[in-house]
Amino acid sequence: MREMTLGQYYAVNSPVHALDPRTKILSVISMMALIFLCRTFCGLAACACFVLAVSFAGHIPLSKMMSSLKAIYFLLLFTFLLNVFFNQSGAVLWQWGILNLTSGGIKRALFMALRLVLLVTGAGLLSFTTSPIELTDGLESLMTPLKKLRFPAHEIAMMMSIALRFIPILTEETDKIRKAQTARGANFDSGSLYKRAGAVVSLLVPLLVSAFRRAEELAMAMEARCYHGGEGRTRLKVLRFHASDAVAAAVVLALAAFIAADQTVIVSLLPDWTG
Amino acid sequence: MGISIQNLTHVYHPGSPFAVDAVHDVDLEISDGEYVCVIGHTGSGKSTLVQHLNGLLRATSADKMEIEGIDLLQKKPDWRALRRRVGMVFQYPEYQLFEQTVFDDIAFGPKNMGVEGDELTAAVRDSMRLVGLPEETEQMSPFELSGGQRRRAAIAGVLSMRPRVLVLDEPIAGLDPTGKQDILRVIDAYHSKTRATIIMISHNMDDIVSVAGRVIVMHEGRKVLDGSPEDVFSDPDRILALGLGLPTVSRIVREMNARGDHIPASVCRKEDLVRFLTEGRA
Ligand SMILES: Nc1ncnc2c1ncn2[C@@H]1O[C@H](COP(=O)(O)OP(=O)(O)OP(=O)(O)O)[C@@H](O)[C@H]1O
Ligand SMILES: [Mg+2]
Repeated sequence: MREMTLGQYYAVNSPVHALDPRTKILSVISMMALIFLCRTFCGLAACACFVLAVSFAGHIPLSKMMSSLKAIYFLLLFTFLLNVFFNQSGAVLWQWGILNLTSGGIKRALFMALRLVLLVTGAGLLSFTTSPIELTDGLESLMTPLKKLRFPAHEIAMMMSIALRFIPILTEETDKIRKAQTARGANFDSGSLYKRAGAVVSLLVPLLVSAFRRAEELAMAMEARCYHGGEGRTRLKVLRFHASDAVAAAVVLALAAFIAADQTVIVSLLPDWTG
Repeated sequence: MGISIQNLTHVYHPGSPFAVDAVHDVDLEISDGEYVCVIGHTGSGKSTLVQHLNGLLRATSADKMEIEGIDLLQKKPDWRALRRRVGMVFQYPEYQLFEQTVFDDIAFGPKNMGVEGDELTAAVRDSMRLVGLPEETEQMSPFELSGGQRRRAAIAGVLSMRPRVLVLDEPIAGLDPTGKQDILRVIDAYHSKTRATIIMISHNMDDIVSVAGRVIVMHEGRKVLDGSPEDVFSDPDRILALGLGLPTVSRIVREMNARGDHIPASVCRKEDLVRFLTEGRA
């Protein structure tokens, strides 16, 4: 099958890519919790260092990291402005009508914006360095304890991986049908709305038909190979933790410890400030 | 007018880690009315090459791209005119059928080109006759047709635009032997009736030697051989080294020569072999 960019996966070899997906999922969840818990710029700076260090170790170019921010430019701006003008503490720097620009407001806005940037780029790291298949494998493994509560962990993971498997196939198919209809004069990018709608129909109908056909074929093939759900099923690729996973866990723990220490130091200093 | 291409290069996803140099420095001159077959190992760039002919792909770089009198290197070529002149049948074209009736589906192309009324009806009926679809299928849903009929309906959907150049990407893949012969006959009929240029990608060497006037061999994105079937297959070792098969007749000739016969390697058609053997032995 043809290599395709699926999701955001950035296919290179790096120590981060080689980590067990469970380690990465849990680390990202912990990091997000830390970003939320941390209340100081110092703590956020530590998180930023962490994100930068991981992206460096994972050979993810900075431009790629930035591109994951594209989706939230507007949100970022909105958050910033909201915080700047609604937080009225500290010295007033600038005034215009009812709008007050205060030092506290700016601080607060910067803090929130930085937090948002870190959350998004941090989550981006997971999808850049972990292929969707690894991700579902990791999730299934992490959800296994829930099976005791009759939670259909295997089925959900299977559905996810089938859906993921089909994305490139359907993209390729869309591309093919689109070309075939373009060759017959269908115009997807210009022309009247009515004409364009006609072009879209000529793309959607064959696509839908083929999706159903493929689903049917897949169901048949799975049945023919006696697929009967997750029970007693072994895996081709067994997930195993390695020494590098311990290293990664240690780094995340160190970050957590630093942020905890940072918080308590601040808390112990607080009376001094107020007094 | 024909086709004239110089130094065509196509790179998929240029500048990314997934960049694929699919077609490299290809020159191509095809005159009106030629019947050209393009062959090559899988992934050699055949489909990529032919999709440039009606602008579905645009060259990453090229020194000249002139197709049926339209210069594709200018800023805004007349795509509609180009697509009317160059028809394209993709692999498994039956998967592109979508209209409610066979008639409407075949009319989709010409309608997009601005053909209307009686002219449209005539174009649809003509191409249905050409591909051998009976008239009573006209108002049927394309999904009610058999596999072979669907393929023919899809090809009719391209022929109804009356292209002067007909490009076909493996048009006979996945059909049974009679279905294959039927489709090849349709293409031949269109070729002889309209004197259109035919450019066909195929993997079946026996069909190629029986229909093509010229064979182009692609290998790893480059055009490595170009000539009459006799020329191209006259060096069987080269063809085998490129990972391609030989026509049945060439295989027989090779085998016979290995056992001491002296038949020219360029003999690749059944008639030629029979003629050679009967005349030679007489
Ligand atoms: N949309 C695409 N994106 C990325 N790479 C592509 C794309 N289409 C084709 N390629 C790559 O370009 C190269 C040439 O592909 P192409 O489809 O032109 O080969 P082909 O000769 O038609 O092969 P086949 O006989 O299998 O149809 C291959 O390496 C292929 O993987
Ligand atoms: Mg191809």
